[in-house]
Amino acid sequence: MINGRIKKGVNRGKSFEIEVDGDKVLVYKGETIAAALLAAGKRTCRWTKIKKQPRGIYCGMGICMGCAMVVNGRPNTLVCQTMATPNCKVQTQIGLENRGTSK
Amino acid sequence: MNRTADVVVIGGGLIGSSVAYYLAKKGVEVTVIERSEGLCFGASGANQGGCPFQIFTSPLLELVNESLKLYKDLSEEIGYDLEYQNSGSLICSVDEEQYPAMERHYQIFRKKGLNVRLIEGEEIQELEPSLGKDVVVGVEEQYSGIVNPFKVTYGFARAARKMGAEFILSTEVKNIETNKGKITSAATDRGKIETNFVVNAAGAWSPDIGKMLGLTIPVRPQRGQIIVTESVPLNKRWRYIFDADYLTTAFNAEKIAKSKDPRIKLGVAGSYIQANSGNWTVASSRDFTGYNNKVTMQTLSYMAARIIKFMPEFADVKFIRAFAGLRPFCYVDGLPILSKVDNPSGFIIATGHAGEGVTLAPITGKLISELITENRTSIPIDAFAFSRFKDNRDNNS
Amino acid sequence: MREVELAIIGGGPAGICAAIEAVKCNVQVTLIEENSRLGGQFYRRLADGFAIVNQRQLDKYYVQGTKLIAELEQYRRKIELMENALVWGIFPDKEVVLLRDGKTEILKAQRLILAEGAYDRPVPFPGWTLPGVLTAGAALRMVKTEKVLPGERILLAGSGPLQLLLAAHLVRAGAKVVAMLEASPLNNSWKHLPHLLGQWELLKDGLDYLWELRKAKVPLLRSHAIVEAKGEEQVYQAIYAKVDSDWQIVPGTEKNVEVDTIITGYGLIPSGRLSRLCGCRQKWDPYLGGWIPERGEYMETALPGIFTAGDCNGIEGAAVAAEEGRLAAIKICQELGHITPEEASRRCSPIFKKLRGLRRFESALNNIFAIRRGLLAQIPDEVIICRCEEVTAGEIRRVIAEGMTNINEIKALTRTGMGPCQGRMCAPIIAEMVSIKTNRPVGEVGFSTPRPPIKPIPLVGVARYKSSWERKVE
Repeated sequence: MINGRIKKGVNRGKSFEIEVDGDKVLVYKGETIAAALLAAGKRTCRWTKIKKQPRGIYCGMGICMGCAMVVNGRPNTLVCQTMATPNCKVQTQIGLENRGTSK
Repeated sequence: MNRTADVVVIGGGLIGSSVAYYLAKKGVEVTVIERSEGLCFGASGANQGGCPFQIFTSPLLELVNESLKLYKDLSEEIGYDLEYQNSGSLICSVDEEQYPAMERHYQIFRKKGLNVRLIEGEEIQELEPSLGKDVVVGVEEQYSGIVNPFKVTYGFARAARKMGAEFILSTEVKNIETNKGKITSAATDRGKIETNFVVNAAGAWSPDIGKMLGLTIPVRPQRGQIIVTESVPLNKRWRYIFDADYLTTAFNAEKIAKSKDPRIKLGVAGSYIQANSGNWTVASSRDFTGYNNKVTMQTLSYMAARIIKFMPEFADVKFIRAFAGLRPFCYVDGLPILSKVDNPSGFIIATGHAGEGVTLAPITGKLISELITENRTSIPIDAFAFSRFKDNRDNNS
Repeated sequence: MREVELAIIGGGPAGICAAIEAVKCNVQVTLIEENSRLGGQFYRRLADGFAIVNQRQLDKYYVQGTKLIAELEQYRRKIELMENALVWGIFPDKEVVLLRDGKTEILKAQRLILAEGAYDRPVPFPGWTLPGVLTAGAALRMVKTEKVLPGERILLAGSGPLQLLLAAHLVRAGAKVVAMLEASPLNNSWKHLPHLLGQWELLKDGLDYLWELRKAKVPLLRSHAIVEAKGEEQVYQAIYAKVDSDWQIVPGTEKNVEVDTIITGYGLIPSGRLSRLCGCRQKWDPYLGGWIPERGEYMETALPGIFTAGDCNGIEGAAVAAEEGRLAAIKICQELGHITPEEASRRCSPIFKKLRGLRRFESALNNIFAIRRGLLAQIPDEVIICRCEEVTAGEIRRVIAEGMTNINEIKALTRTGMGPCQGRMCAPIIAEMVSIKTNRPVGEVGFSTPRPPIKPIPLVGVARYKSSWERKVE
């Protein structure tokens, strides 16, 4: 799936780019990082620590912890609850540890 | 339920299940009575699982030492993984003025020939980067441990059951019957159990049991609040860290009473333990509010501020739950009560462990089992005798 | 700490309507919303900066939400609206603890309305944790407000009108919905027809959606449920099967279909963390989604001054939530002396009437689409139940088999519920597992001891409170 955005009948605001695991991804103003990831076909947000399983968006409202990713160096950021900002850096997270902004 | 037992143990926590295990091991028929739906519903289920060593002085130090020795092989002995780790600990200070006290602390243990180390200044941060610059001096030792208190209680219970012990839940002891100065039965809300021995392991509620026999057991609930954090990468060297103030808040009631510092008045001094899962339990606090086991904003805020002082990165670490436990605190001298009583015969008290129930569970069980079956103990427990309290009888008994 | 007259926690339909009603009586209202904008889940706003070209294509419920929020906007200057404010605890007596801008604030409220809402029921099956498996609520949010499709080839599996609404939206957006599985047989719906007809507008909406799906040739399979999601890093195939009236899989009826997305819509669970934390007595009602607070006809709980409104009281939809919010607010206005009991009665009377009809309708739906045991009875041992701590059904069953049947015990020994979701995903499932294994009703199994914070809070957020308390002490 290349682009999951619903085009018909929707006017969007300005667009900009964010970085996801080193790749540039197109985002529109007002979108959450989760929406941008879905639109770009990226579904795995994190890998679990013990069983090394992939997790992605599940509840969409910030309670299942599935979409926890490292955003601008900050781990455990729930991307379904976080607005995308120009040039923000998003990385797939391993485990649910809070590894602080320095790591 | 069984109508008879050699020994009835009141209380299904760390102490009760340990006593049951060591008694069952000696072939004694034990019945444990617990009024909640499960085990560990008191302080046994609301603690950090810490088995510290270097915070103690005699006579507790010797007792702790023996208990830690038992912990080393306990998992294997009872065939249940207690998740015991010989973690060691660091006690450290964020106050330059505590330097001399820390040095004295270090010397005391060094003179005993124990493996301790005084670490100061930058070396602390080199060894443990998560400790902030405010931490100026610390003393490390290799004897303390960390364990999973639920596994300890359930492990003891399981092993005891295998040897014939019975655990009865959702049942409350209402009275202890005696005849001519001897115990004859324990009366519960679901029937009587004939027995000549009753062990009072009811923790913060042990005074209620004592009252049934006209005894005043000088124990009162001391609330301790705990914050549990999300998972954080494991610390490099020390996963059991004490704030130097802990020595005051845990053992020096006079100093607390005299203090002008609101934090000390709430008994807040750091005790930080990181479990294998990466979660930290952030403690400790001490106050007396009856049987209220709710957390309070003031204490939580002081505890949070304190750990940030020791480990600044914790400002951004989230906590995911907070709870409080009620320590059975002996308000006369803060020491446990491990003892028979003069009257009635057959009543044994095993409580008053304050914040050391986890640490002392194994040795308590062993000593109580010796006291009951052999009428002597392998290490002296005179310091913990009930007879040390002068006024221990109700006026109307 | 500062005092407020009425604190409303939750800015969904219940909270918004309560705020409007209260401010009309000149009550000093503080409306606290966790997200950056009002609307809750059901009236969630379109992404900021987005616009729908043809206003007539706007969803009817979206328009309802817009109108409601606009009505509140009229009273903007009289209401204290706190957005991006997360209530994480309530201490006695009605001291609301919230995190805003990284700091904890405490509001001491004279009256409290808890409008915590609800969340999608987590339903475990092999592969349910794979990326590509998501809830109907999440999908609706993506499609309605972020205008992005959750996938290309989608299988819907669930029960009830929520997934019907979702299916219609997906179809309109151009997604390929390979099928919609409805676990209920629907053969008893005729019994409820009179109550359904009583809310013709709502019923008609449902029929319209069904017609839309029919036109788009989306198969609607009754008595079918999801069995497995297959995939390595994401879903590539779904296995589904026929189920009996108890929602147990009928062996031999399994079919597979290539999909990249599976959306589960098996109803909602009331969010009751705050009401439990306060100590409001709870009762178990499987038709209303599970644990709900006991309350009187004006939404008052047994705790003085604490009211609850909306889906957190039981899943009955936005219209009921709105009316419950109004009832609670009017009663509070009267209690605080802003209106007379006669005036309160006059205002509440039409609301009670409206609620009767609405509740009959919702009750009919909750009966037709009631969750049946079979859904959770057959989870294979290797399925993860606690998503945070990665604990499997098998590990939980082992502990239950050893005699541990108290939720808190199971939590202590398996680590389920000890992760950052705080048991929201796993606890309802574990309660059912215990109920099934011990033959006790779920209501007797209980829930884990409620504790603050009800959502993870950075330690600095609590630490900073210290200074204001110290000032108070001196």
